[in-house]
Amino acid sequence: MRTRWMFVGLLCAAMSTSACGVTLRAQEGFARVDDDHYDRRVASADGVVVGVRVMRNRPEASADFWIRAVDERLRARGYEPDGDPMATQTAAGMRGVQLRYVQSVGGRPHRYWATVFVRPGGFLRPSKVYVVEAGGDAETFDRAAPHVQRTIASLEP
Amino acid sequence: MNTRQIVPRLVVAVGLSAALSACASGSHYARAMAPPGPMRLEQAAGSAVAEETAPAPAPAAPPGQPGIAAGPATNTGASTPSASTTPSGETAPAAAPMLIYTAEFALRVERERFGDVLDRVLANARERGGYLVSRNDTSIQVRVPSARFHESVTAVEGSGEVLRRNVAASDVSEEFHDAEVRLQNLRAVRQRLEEFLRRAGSMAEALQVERELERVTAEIDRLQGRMRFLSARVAFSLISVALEPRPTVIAAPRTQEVVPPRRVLNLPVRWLHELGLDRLLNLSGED
Repeated sequence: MRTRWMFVGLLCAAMSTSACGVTLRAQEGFARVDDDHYDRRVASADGVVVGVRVMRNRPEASADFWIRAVDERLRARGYEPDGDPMATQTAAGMRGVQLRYVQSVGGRPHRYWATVFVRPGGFLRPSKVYVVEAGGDAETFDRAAPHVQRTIASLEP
Repeated sequence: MNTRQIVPRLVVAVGLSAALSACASGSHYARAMAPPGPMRLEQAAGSAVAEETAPAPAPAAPPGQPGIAAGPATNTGASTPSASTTPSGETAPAAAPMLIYTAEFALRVERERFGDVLDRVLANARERGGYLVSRNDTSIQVRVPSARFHESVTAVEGSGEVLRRNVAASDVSEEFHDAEVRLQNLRAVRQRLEEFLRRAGSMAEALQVERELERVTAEIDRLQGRMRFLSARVAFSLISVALEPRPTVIAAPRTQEVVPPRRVLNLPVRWLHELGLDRLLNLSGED
């Protein structure tokens, strides 16, 4: 009986980990505002939002592939690149690439960052793609940019 | 002879002269004149000029330019005499028509060649014994001996693209012949008036005759001038050339080719399509 409950508990933990396998710490001035589309999402009072999606690496591809796929998709939707892709690294040591864009929303320029990480698979651990999105009105986003960077850097699988 | 006798005679004489001048084609004088051939026409005009005035070059050619061509005045290049009967009954060659030839050309050449083409037209005319009448930046008029009119026209046509061509021949034979006959008649009238003047018995008579003599002399001068003019025009044909620029072909500007955007491959990955500010900033949870 006890063993059974232990097994169930472990199973629940494993399921929760696989379903919610990411940590994104809200910085000062940000609050957590999860929803069904993001695994984690935080937002500031003046509209700067940072959210992360975690997907299985399917079709399995390299980080370079997913970075290009994200860039192609955003450009196709009219997002204007704002600088060259930048290599980035989280506090936990995950290496990724940050893509920056500018998009007009309601006649106002908005910043949009997409930071892509690919964690390779391992024993009983599938490869995953982490996409951290950050965006907001350019005026407020630029002020909150350091907090946004620290939020992204806080990502932990 | 007194005034009463002179004046009526004078009136009759003048009236007869006027009638004879108006009926020149049927007059005795017209029939008596041997129909001149091509050479004779010029000689007749020249004699009409030389008789009354000091010999003057006809036409008034510019210095260094040849005067009336020594060749035939006919412009057709070959005179075809028609028969007419002299008083002796023999058939004499009829007068060749007196034709004034004019040619007008519009040529299309490159604008930078205008000067060269105009120079060439003038050079061609001068080579054939012609001379310059007028010239400006885009047109030129030259006169060439009528005998060389056709070859001059051919030379002009080879100078550029012919846009318009107008060659005309004006027959002034009848006018010239009429003027000749009237001139003869007026000379006869003048001769009689001079005789009347010598016989005038009084100053009044003399003045009357003098006035008439003056009128007849003026008419003679006018006719001679007209004949000189016609002879000159017949002897030298006018060629007018106007140049038009060849339109410059401007290469059509290369319009910037609009390259359609590159086709984006729609990967069958749902989350790729969900990226963006729309969903990220939708904090209310509404889709």
